[in-house]
Amino acid sequence: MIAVVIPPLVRLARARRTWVWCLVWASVALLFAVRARHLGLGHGSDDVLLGVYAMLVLPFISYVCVRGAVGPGSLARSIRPLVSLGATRWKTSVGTVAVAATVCAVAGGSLGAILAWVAHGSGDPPVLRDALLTAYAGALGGVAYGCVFVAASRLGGWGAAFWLIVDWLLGAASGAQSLAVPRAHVRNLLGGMAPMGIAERTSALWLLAIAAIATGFAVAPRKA
Amino acid sequence: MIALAGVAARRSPMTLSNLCASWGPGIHAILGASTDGGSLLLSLLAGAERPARGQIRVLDGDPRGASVRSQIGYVPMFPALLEALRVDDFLGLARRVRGDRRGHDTDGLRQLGIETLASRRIRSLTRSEARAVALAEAISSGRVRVLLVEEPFIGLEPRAAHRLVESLREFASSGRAVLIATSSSRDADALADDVWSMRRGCIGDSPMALSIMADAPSDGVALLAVARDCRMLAAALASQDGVQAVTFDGTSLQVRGREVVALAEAFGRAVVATGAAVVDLRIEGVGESPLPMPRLDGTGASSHKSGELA
Repeated sequence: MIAVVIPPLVRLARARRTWVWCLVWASVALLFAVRARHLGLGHGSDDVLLGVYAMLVLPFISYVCVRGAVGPGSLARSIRPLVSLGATRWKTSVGTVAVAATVCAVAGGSLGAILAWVAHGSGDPPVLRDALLTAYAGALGGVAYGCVFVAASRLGGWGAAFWLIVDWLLGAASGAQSLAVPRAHVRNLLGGMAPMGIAERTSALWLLAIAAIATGFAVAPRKA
Repeated sequence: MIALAGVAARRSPMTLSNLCASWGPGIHAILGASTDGGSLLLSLLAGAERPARGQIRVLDGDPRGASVRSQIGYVPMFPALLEALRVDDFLGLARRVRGDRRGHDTDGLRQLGIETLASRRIRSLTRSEARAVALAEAISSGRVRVLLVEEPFIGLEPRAAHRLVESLREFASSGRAVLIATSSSRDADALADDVWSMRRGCIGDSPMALSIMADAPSDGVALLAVARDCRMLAAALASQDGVQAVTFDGTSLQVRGREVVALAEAFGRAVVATGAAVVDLRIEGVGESPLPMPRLDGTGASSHKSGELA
């Protein structure tokens, strides 16, 4: 099993462009957080997390991490070298999903916690609690985004980009369609508008369900 | 070790129809043009594609199964390697995935004389170097029992090509099978124990002897060519020894003779003398129905064979 996670890990580690984009998006979020602190906003943390973080930074950082782990083409192209050497398709796909989801979770969770701490305002919850809850929401969102983008890569190199747009469009509202995408649930976990008025815990379960369904789609055997 | 029963498959422009054949240990060559289906057949045997019909057995199993695939080495024209890794890292990972505990990661590179590639990033390799690395990985693996190589001498790193014959013979000597698909009868003759002709997706019933092919068939042979300056080339051919008849229309040319080598030599001399640009070249028995030749609009044309003869 270790062998199948090496290629996506090495690919990600050596993808300079991925790290540059991660830094760019993290810097954008940090700029907003520093600005909120500088202006002394009472709900600075909420503003930054519900605004730039949930809407742009978390999806985009997850997207570039998945592109780094999968490579420029489709998931099938990414796993082909190992499969041709005798690795099973599902195991190799699971390896890619595991790497992508873990990296997205770590990146999303840690950045969320840092933003909550930097942008913390007087009207926000206690800073430690806020940072921990944000890390939890960011990590859960990162896992869902990672799995969804890898699954979408199965459709081709453009699949993840397509799903990024779908997530952005469907997740903006709070209707039934927003239940299907991570963005609406991440927003709910961060204290924003809930999709269909569901509870935060239900949104967490939805994120796990989205991740599980996406993983199933990514590893399902392909037809001839 | 390899058995095909009624196999049919299609990947444009190649179509395989009702293939039945079996190969045991040794080096076997499938001789045919690139569009005759040799590369599609290797891809099916490697488990990379699924046949539309029929059954493929490699090492008594389905080549799409992981346990069989780990015993198959596949070197197509564009091998799939892990571009982010270094060559030695890739070879180590390949051994791990195949479950091979014998020898050292870079044994194959040494065997082909390309050990200097070990520290290179795969992304930085040329296509010929990548093919050599894929070949080195396969021949050095203790797990690989069936090796499938497409056009072994074309686009292969020159140092590796130099040691290829010796390496493949050594590989096959231990009861393993090598199947090569090539359009060059010279390469097939240099490497293989037996050569099977493949035409339009069908394999001959028995291996062909290349030395017999060079002798005169009873009805003679015809050389079909597509060339610019056909009129000039036809005029030059008419005066050559070994040529019995020349016919041409616009861009295609048919030359008939009794003996294939004499005819090929005559054609080569005529091409050199006229400087004609030959786009495609094919040799047929006179009794055989001619294959459609590519046209001069550039689609599907190949100058590989003409280059060899010239």
